[in-house]
Amino acid sequence: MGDIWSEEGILSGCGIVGFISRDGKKFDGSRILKATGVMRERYNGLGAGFAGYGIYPNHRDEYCLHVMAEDEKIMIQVSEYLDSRFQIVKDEKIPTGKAIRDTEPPVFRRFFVNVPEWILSSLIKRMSPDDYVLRKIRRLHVRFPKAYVFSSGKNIGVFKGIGYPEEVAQFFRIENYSGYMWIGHGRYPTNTPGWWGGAHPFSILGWSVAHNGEISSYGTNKRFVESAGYVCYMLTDTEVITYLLDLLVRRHRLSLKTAVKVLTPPRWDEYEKTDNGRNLRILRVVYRSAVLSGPFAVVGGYSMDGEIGLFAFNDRLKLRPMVVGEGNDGIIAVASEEHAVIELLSKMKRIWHPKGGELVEVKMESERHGE
Amino acid sequence: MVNRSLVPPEFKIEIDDSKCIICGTCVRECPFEVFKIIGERIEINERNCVGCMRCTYMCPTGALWVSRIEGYGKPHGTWTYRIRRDIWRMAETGSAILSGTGTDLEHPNILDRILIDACQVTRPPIDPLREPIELKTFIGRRPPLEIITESRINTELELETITEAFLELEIPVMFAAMSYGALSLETHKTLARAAKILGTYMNCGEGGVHEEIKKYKDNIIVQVASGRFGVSKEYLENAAAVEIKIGQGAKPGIGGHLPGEKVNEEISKTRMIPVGTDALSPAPHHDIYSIEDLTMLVTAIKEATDYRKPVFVKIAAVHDVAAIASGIARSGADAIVIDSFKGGTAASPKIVKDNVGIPVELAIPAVDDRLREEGIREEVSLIASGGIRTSADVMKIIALGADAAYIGTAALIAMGCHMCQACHTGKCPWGIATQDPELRKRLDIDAAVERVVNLLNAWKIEMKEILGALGMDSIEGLRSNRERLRGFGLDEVTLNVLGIKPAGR
Repeated sequence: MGDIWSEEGILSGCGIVGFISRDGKKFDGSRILKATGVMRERYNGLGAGFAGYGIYPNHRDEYCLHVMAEDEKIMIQVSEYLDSRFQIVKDEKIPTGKAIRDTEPPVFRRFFVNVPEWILSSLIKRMSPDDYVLRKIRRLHVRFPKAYVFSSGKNIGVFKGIGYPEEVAQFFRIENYSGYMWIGHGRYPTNTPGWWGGAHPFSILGWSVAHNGEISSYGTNKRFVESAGYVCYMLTDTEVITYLLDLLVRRHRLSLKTAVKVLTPPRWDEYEKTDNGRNLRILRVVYRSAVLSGPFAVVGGYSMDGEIGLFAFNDRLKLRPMVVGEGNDGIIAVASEEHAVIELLSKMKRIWHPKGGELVEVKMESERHGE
Repeated sequence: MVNRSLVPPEFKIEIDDSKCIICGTCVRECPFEVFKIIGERIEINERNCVGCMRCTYMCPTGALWVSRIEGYGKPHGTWTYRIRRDIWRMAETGSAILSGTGTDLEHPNILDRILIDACQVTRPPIDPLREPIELKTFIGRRPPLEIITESRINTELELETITEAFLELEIPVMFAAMSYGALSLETHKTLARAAKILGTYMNCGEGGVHEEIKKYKDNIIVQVASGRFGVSKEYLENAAAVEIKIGQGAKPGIGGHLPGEKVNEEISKTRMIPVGTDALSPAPHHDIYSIEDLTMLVTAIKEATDYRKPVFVKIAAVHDVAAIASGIARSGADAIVIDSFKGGTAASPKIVKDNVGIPVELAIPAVDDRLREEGIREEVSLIASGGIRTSADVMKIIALGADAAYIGTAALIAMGCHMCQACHTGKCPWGIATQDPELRKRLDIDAAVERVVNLLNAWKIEMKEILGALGMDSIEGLRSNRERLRGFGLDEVTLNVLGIKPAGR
């Protein structure tokens, strides 16, 4: 394609981090930055990003759209577009600091929006507000190729760009946001210089996913989610994994645990000894195109139906590193490298390496209000 | 030159007199009466030779060699030797030329122009000797994605009912429809036994299932073709799946004809027709004149089998294959078989074989794309058939969009077929495509089963190596993964149809 606003077939190595505070205690962005930052050999300064959960307590029930645009003119058009399709409760510039190195950064704005019931009921084919939001973002991307929505969930925000993790964190001043769950990512892209939207985590609705790896089954998975109505815009593994999770968990109502067994299934000869193996085997037959092959480690967060959780899983052969640690303070941390986990936890209770295909899921038990 | 044929011999036969012991083996082995012992020497009638190589193989002293005559008279680029020969043959007989096997013309082979990817540095290849690599494939109809959604809410995993009608394949390769009648009973038995050993399926073709292979019913796909030979409720029930044959790649739009001489006692029983009558398969099914008629036949078969067997619909790859396949997908069929114009046959007019239809490697991506555009690809299985020669062909056709492939000729070659294209004569010198009791004895079933099983086991190893190099530990990630293929020396339009990039991009 050759346009820096789109990229295809990114090959990259990465470092991923995530943590959740089980009891809902909030931490500012400097904590995730510290852990992301220590794995510096895993990055080459061409992309980093963070997703914070619980950072907008005053707008917890509105979809928050973090929008990037090439310039202010396009941002105005995007505002008008959103205004005609949503009820905008509030919109504001995302505060930014000094530019990273000598680059000219895009402009950023966040919109807190509602989907008015009258819009939904006027649609011929009734859809959920979530589906409506996804569809409008899809249209926005087609209509404004120079604009991009970083995140669209409730009480969630994604901050990402070109640079090392500390540069991106400084630019967005993430120390000014407090969240009970954070996901961090740094990249080592091996071909194109990358663009701001191409950094990770990738996020839609309540999902945000950071991924290290390169799935070999990409084309199969992409065609599958496309036939379920998703549009692969970024053409990255992270995007397709997020869509698969959204399809299986949010739309098809599988539990995350079951969904991960679909994506990284047991071997055919292992179902007999697997819990609920008979049904899982049938699911593998039905969802043959959702199976992920090739090396990857995924860490992500979800916020759905009032539940908030951190999850992580590897390809079934465990071809990429991933470590999990539990601290005494109720924090669970996941990272590509052990020292990032140690960095995140004040006192370590235990640390372990999950097996390939094994889901690590930690739900938040209570959310502290009004902090 | 009264009555003397202008058609020149195609093969030259040489006997090394210093080795020949005049034992008469070649005389006995050649069903085309090429050899005669006249006194102390062997007389050769080269005109009758089809190039089956049986004599060379059987000659105990290695005295015999058969080689193709490459030229005859002055060469000509337009009026080739092949064209001149055919004109003479038709001028002498007044009939269309029939022959066996798929077209022997050197049409460009697109599969050979496609290269497969491998992993280097950014992701690791997987070593099949260390990690299990899975080839298991399921053929059948998946529920529409929207239905999965609704049926799952709150009652996750109520799935038993949707998966009864699946075929489970240990290797994504099945044996294509080849009828008893065209093939000997021994060949049918070989395929059935090999299918059982390999964990795959053999399609019995349109000639019914002989008593002696009914015990392999769990590995047999029965065919319902336009002649409806051998079709009964019991026939449909004693099978793993049912295939409605609409067309065959080697002769799209053409019916079939098993001459009465071949209809002996056993074939008569299996086909349910009187001994000695011609078995005619009409070109169309007389109850299918449009797509809605097909839907009714699919439903009728499903009703008759209690919705427990997948129903395949097989069509020849023709120009509008994508639109036709879309119609079939909506008819309720579980799988669509697309048969290449390069597919084999026991007898087809040569002119049709050489000129009608399209290659499966172009048809499969076209069908895959169309079904995806319509959001129904995930529901049906797609089986590629015709001209699939190697494990690499299987991998490439899967990456272009198929779920599995059918092989016919490759399995017969494994048994000993030498591609002499004389299947239609009924005199197969290797005992494969014949009903002659003496010739049939030439196929040793045990040995043939072992050879076919060996071939596919070797393919399995090769497929695992290729998948491992692709960084995949299961074959599910390959289907329609066109990103992992590159065209080599293909023009832009062809690349476009295939949906792949050229090598270097």
